[in-house]
Amino acid sequence: MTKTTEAKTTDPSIWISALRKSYGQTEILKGVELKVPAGTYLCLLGPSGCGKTTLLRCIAGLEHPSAGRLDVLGRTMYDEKLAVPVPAEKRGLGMVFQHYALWPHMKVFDNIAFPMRQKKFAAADIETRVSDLADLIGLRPLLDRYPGQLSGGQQQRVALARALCSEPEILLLDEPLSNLDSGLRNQLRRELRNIHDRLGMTSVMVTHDQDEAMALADMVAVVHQGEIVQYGPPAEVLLNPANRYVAGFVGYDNMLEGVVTDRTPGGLVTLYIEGTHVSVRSNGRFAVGDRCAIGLKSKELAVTGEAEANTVPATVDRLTRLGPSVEIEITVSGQPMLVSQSVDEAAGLTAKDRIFLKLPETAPLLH
Amino acid sequence: MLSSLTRTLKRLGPLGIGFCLLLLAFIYWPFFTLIAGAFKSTPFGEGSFTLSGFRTVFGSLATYKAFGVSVAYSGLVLVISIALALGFAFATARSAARFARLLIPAMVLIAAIPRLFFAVSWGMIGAPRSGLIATMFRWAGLTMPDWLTVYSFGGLVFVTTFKVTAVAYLLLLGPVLQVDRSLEDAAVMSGSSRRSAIFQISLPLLTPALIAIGMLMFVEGIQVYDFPALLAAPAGIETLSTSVEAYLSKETTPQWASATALSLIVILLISVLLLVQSKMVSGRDFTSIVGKSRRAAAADKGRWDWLVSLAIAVFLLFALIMPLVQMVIGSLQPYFGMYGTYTLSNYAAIFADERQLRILFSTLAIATLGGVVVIGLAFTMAYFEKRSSIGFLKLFIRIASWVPATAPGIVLSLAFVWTFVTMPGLRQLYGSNILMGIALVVAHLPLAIRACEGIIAQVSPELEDAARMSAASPATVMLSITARLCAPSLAAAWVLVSLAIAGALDVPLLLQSTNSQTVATYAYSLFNNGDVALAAAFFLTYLMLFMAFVVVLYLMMRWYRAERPGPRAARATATPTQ
Repeated sequence: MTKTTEAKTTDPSIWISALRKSYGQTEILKGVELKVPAGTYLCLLGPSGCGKTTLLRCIAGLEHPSAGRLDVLGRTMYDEKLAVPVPAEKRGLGMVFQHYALWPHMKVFDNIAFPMRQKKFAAADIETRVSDLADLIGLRPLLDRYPGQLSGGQQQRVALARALCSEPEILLLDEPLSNLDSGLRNQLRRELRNIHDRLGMTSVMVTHDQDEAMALADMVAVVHQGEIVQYGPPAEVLLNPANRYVAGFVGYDNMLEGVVTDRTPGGLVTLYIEGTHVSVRSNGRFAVGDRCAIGLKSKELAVTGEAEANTVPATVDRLTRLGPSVEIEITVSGQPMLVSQSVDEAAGLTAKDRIFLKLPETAPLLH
Repeated sequence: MLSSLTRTLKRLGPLGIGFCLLLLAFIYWPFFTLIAGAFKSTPFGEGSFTLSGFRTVFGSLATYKAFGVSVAYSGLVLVISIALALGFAFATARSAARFARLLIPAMVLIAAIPRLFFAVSWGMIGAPRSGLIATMFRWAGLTMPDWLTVYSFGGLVFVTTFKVTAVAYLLLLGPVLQVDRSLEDAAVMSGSSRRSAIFQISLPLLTPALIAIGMLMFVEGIQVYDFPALLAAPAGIETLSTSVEAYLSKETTPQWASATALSLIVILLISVLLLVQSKMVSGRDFTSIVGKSRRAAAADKGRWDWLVSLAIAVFLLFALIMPLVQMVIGSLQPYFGMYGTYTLSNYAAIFADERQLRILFSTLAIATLGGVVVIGLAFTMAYFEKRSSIGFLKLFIRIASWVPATAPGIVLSLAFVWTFVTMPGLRQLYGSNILMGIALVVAHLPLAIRACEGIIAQVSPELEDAARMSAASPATVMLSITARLCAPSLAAAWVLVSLAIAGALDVPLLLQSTNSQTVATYAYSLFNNGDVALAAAFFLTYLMLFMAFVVVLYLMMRWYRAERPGPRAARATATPTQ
């Protein structure tokens, strides 16, 4: 592996504008806009059916958009004004498929060598390259086997080696880890990132697993109903979700609604909730009188018996023991919420208790 | 409009346009010619517009009789065959009866052997004086009653049923095996008996499959030519298919207009039936009848297993063993009906006659090469119909894949006669093996396309996507991934299609000349001229020749695969690191 192409940060390696895709009356992609800088590891994050795989397949050329424009490495691959889009085989991209898609009639060696054979490389070059890749990905002992004789993890490694064989500048990955058990998933996840860093390419990965996206990506694009609703570094998506949907998807499982009563120039927003005022920090545009919600994670919440600063009164509805923790169902201002506490923290609490919920000042405020 | 046309043409590319033109010339065009010909006063596209053909057909009582016979024949065969096939399919899926395991190989064999073989063989078994049955009556000191003859409507239905049952069985076996036993178990736990659970739960679940297969069988029954030609026509019973031929060969001068008009009516009738069938099937997912996939439970021994075995034995005796034995015995008799004296003289005569050898080998060439063309075309058409994103191409192929299915073989050959005689450049091909080959290929396309659709559906599109992402051209994707993965199934389909081409009697009948006869037409003429023993020997010789050819091919393939070297790196790295 000698590829050391420097990431050019000025030109985006993938540039998508107003991309639409419909099947009959159903619109799957609704005007996607996206610029992916070269060398980025991008994760398209969203639940199944949100359009993320369709977007990836449009980039690959396996599906053709209905409208818009797609440029890859400065070359227009699709433009609604063009009669024929550039076919997948001429885009020069690598792709790893969810179900591996290894050809069962070819040995591992032939599977990996296939892309180079298509480009008419000399047999000796193919052999060197496949051997290098086999070393990189730990496949050397398996080259003479058929895919059917390999485990799931080994098959996915072969699929990765095949995708990397013709040294693509962009690697597309369609939920590559979803069929593996958790131990193997973590191991391959690290390997993926290492290979990406070592080869300096641009990677676009589809996933529905937010932990995977946060662990791997330089940039995360959250896809919802055919649109990208937030695009930014993982920390930003995690700490400042753009809306309630993104917040819910990245783990904010409680939404506490209130009305804005004040905001300071320093970004401190005060909300009125059930006779109390609470404050959170936000860079968002909120005006006095707006109805909005504070995003809260049940595992990061705390309850107290006394009213303190930034607390709201609550009533305990039910306690459920879940192993080492206790799930407490409470009602705040008529809104049901969940709080997760350790058994020690929850000791002494019973149903119908009047308690106070502490709100962290850093909790995101959402429209 | 113009821009969308140029856009489509651009997307099709020169190869795609060439492919469409090929379909247009050999599938669509003969049908246009046939339609035009039905309204012409003189044959082959000349003369003025006339409806005289239609007047003759509609004015003749024989037409209505033939229609009635065809519908009754097809309907009766359909009902009996589906009932038998369903019973046997359930026996395979559920019964521990000893003979049940014989069903699949036996049914494949019955379905694969050409219809003409059974028609000739049963024609021998049931012949009034010299047949096997008549001989057995004679040995018992009795005379065979007239009603037992196979040359009657009852005989026709009886013989056809065996062959159709085998085909229906193979089509029904998949759906029957897919019926989830747990659905029946639920009925049994709700107080139903196992037997009534089958009737209350499983059979209703199979209704879509039964209707779809039943309609196809009915259409096939309307089209079939060889059984009625051999068994019913001698008794003066005409079906729609034999009537078309009768207009051309049994009148003092060939009635082209009437034959064409009747053909057109048959095509319309079948088109309507096929449309109804596709409407009934559309949107129904046959696999949705599976509750949850799991291995079929092992069958338990039952009290009635002996009865199931007996039923299977009786069926196989009539459907396979008797026809095979009769064919072999018949071929060894110096004259048909001469039991007790056996000789190889018929075979010796075949190998001594250059003409018969030529027919054998030219049929082998037409059938095997034609089979390759049929499978190649059918695979390509099914592939593009499934995978192409060009709407026009999909529709064009879809229609082309059904058009030949609307025409009985005899009508198809009529369409080809019209086309080739009216086309100046192609007229020389009339009476040649090439024309015969083309017509046989077109006639066998629809069935092969349906088979290829099923075969291609088993290859996950992701495997093709992976190849495209590996920079493989569309042709490479189709050939080195999809076709390669489908190869074993395609080879099996090729064997069946090649056998069917060699056994087809209806298509070559109008297209043959002294230079271009096939095994089917030659054996048929021998049979009609009373050289029944020779016909049997001729047919068997062909089957043996074909089987020998397939075995040699198979051995060559195995040798090639064993000799082919693997990739060097793979071999080099296989040992040390293990």
